[in-house]
Amino acid sequence: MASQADRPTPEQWATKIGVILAVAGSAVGLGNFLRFPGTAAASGAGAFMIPYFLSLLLLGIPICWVEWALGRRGGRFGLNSSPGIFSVLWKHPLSKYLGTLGLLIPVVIYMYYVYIESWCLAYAVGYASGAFEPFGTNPYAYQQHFARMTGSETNGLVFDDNGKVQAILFFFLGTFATNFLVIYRGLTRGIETFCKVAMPLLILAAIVVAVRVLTLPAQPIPEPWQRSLEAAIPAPEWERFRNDLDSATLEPDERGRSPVQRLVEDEFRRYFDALNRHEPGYDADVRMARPTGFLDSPDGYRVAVAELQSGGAGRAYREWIQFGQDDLDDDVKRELQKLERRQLKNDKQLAQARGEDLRADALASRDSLETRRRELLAGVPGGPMPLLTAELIRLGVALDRALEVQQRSAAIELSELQRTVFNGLGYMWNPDFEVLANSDVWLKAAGQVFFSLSVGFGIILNYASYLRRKDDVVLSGLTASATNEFCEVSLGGLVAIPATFVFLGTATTLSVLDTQSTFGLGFNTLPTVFANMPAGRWFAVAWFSLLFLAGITSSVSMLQPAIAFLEEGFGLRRRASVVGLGLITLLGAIPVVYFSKNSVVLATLDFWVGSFALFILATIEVLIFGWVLGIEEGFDEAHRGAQIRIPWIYRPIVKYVTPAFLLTVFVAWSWQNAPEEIAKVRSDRVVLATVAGIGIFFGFLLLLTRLASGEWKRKGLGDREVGP
Amino acid sequence: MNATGLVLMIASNAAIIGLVVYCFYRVFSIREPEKTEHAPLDIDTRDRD
Repeated sequence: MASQADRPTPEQWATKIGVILAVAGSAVGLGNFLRFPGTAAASGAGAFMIPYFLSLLLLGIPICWVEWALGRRGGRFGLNSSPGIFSVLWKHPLSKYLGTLGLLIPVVIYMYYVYIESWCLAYAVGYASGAFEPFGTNPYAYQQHFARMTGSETNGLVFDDNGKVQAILFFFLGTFATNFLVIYRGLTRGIETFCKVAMPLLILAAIVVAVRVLTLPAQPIPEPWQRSLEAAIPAPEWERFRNDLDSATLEPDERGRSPVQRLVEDEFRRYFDALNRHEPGYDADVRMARPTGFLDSPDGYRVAVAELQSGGAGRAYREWIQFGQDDLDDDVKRELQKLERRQLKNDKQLAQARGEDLRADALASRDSLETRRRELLAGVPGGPMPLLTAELIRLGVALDRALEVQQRSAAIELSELQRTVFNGLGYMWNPDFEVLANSDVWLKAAGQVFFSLSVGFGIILNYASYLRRKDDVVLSGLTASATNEFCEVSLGGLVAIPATFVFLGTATTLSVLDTQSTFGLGFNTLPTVFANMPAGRWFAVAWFSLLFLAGITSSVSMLQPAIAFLEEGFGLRRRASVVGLGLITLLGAIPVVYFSKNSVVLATLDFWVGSFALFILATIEVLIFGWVLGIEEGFDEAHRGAQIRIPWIYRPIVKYVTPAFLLTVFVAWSWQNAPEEIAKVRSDRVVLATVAGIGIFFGFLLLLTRLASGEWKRKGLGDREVGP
Repeated sequence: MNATGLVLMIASNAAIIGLVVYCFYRVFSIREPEKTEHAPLDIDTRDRD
């Protein structure tokens, strides 16, 4: 057994604020600024905050304290890696193997997280260099760019795009190297120094963007494409397009798409391709309402074609909409929006759309609206307008009963609120208390808190192990959690959704909420928002830089547990452990980058490791704290050197409520998601290979843990307390 | 935004910002022991014996 003098001086945090910012940096990530606003706004908005805060108090903060206390206890015995810490906490041969999850989770999450981080860097650099200028304000240009950059439609596109590699590969390698450079410099000179600079910068950038969004003036509602596309493309092309439209039919084919709809889609594709190629005659800055919501429905196309064929006399439709917007008060508009959102959800859940009655006041307002609409349409000149009149009357009739699939999108047009920030904040905060009866919303709130605070990763466990034996963990843990919540609720909640509404309107905002796509919101929708914003390019630089910083402060924390494991378990020096881990994570990241179609490997790793395994590790930690260590000893441990005391009520909460809550959420979440994921494993060979890869890697880590435990014994680690 | 939404937004942000301010106030107002306290051997009593 090695003597005390043989042991190297253990690494420790230099300052208290350093460790707080490092843990907060680990927790603050893309989820705070993109996932939270989308999830909250789609799940009852203000009402979502009730289960959210309850989850924070019963799940998030208690588990943070548990991890901080357990990590510091492990560190006192000279062990910094999760398997080592577990072997100290629970003297059982199996404990170190359970702790191996604390290695698997951060390392595997790093393999895909670093790639997402590189997207943020690529966007920040792209905006700074002006590379996004040609895209103008058109959302399709950003969608196309993002799809091409990430290869979301074709596997391997990042490595071979017409014989060339995509630039994103270099951003990925640069981001990868930056992470390892920070980690190579060590705990204090690397992670702590970096987080002490990056976290204030990140918060400053977020405040700048939030202030910009909150001070935006009201935006005009743009003209629909049939009135604005002419100004955006060359005259000969417009003529050809008009001729094609005149000869095309509006009747939907067997796939539900009409030739007119396809012509419009093709024209938009051609337009954005031309913008990408910087062809002359194409104007990127024409503001137009693209075919979304009602405009993308068969009735919307009928109206558009009729307007074009009437030579502009079909303005009656726009006037009708304007009348509706002036006539309906905001409460009725919100009622219509709620109906729209529910029906969108019903569409997803049911094979056949199910109608739903409007509230009486909404119906009454719509009656007067319909009367006015008929008056307006009565003055429309002849020619092709009977088609328009007939179709709109059909639409009106449809509105008089429950809304149906094709007509319901008209509600979006009618409920268009004035595009102010105040109304945009309504999407984030106007409560829909009815959703609280839905267990799914409670599950989402608990999941958001859980993932956002980075509990169950094994990272806090590792970071806390570098504390001194009498360093505070209670106030530090609470401060790190509060910082994360500030970034999430107070900054993240004020930017993405209100800005999307102000510039892109109701239809796009509802569409964003319906899909709940974090990447869609972050890399397709928000770039369009910035393009519409005065000096938006520079706010976009600030926004994507802050996302990059938020990402990198998280990803470096994912590397440290494995570095600690290699150093303490195999006696490797920093350089050797950094090189070894670099090779392993690069090997794992390559399939993530290569199998880019629908981000299949990324999504699979995120489900099985980034979500499923997290629940398991967090549950084990809470059970060890409350039941193996014992709640009294656990709280004594937490209170050693504490600068504030944990309220008494948390003793029963940590022992009973938190594990029960965690298990309930875990079972419900698995019940909801696992069947679909298991089906994917059976049907998709890439998913199967990814899951097999996770299994092999976990097996490899278990083997390493077994070997490392021999080294701990040889060094005498874990037997008695060491260090300051 | 309606009145209930406004109340919820203000209450949520007040709770979070209040917690952050309290935590950082406590963190910065409590001086770390090693800077203020000295072990007996660190104290020079000027005793020559």
